[in-house]
Amino acid sequence: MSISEISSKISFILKDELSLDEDKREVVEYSLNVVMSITIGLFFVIIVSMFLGVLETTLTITIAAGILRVFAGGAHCSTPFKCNFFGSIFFPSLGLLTYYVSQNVSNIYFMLFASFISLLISLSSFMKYSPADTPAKPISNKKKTGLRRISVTIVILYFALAVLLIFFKLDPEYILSIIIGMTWQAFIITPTGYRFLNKVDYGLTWLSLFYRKTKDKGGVF
Amino acid sequence: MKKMLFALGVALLTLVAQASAASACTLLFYQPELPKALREE
Repeated sequence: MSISEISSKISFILKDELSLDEDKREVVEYSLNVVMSITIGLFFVIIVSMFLGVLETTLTITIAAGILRVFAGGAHCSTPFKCNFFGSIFFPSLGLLTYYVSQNVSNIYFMLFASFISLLISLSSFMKYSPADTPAKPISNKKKTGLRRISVTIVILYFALAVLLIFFKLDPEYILSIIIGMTWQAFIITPTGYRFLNKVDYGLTWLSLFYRKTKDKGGVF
Repeated sequence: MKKMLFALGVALLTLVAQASAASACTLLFYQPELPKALREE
């Protein structure tokens, strides 16, 4: 049973128990869908990153990107399963890459340069594309200006935090994680980011069809 | 008692839905379709 089906079932139970109207039931179903998707997604991100031994970097990237995403929006996969599957592979991989880069390049000048480049990329992306909506959740023009201002402010705060942490000589893996999280979010709101996630979505659809076909035939081997 | 707990759950979920509706999208993972009642025309 999928997250959407479980949310729908629970919302109908609550509707019967509390005599909710259809609008209220839809709101409860939506909320359950959001809460379950985030909980399951984060659970798998934590499990995979723990398995790879990069929990701290992965969580730092995920939180840095997540906070920005609330205000800047961005592309999504078409189903909760695909979104969670992609997230639980992608974020730990990014965590692993960040960890290895930070182990090899922890020079203060490199860190400052990387932070500055990331700031430039992020500012130009967020000022142009933020907030980026989806057909599932359109954003009204009235709200757009406010959300853009907040996301640009967060980018500047991330940069300031990164520079501060560089001067306080904190472990470079955390500083790089903030920079990577910010840059990833700057990418995923651009048209190229949307095309990239569309391709990922298409690839995951193909993979699930292939899996079902081979399962029906009795396995891959 | 059961009804009270359900009502509390629904109140919390409504709060989450309204916070999510006010933001640009959910924290990282799947973005379900926003219900009509939460859409701004």
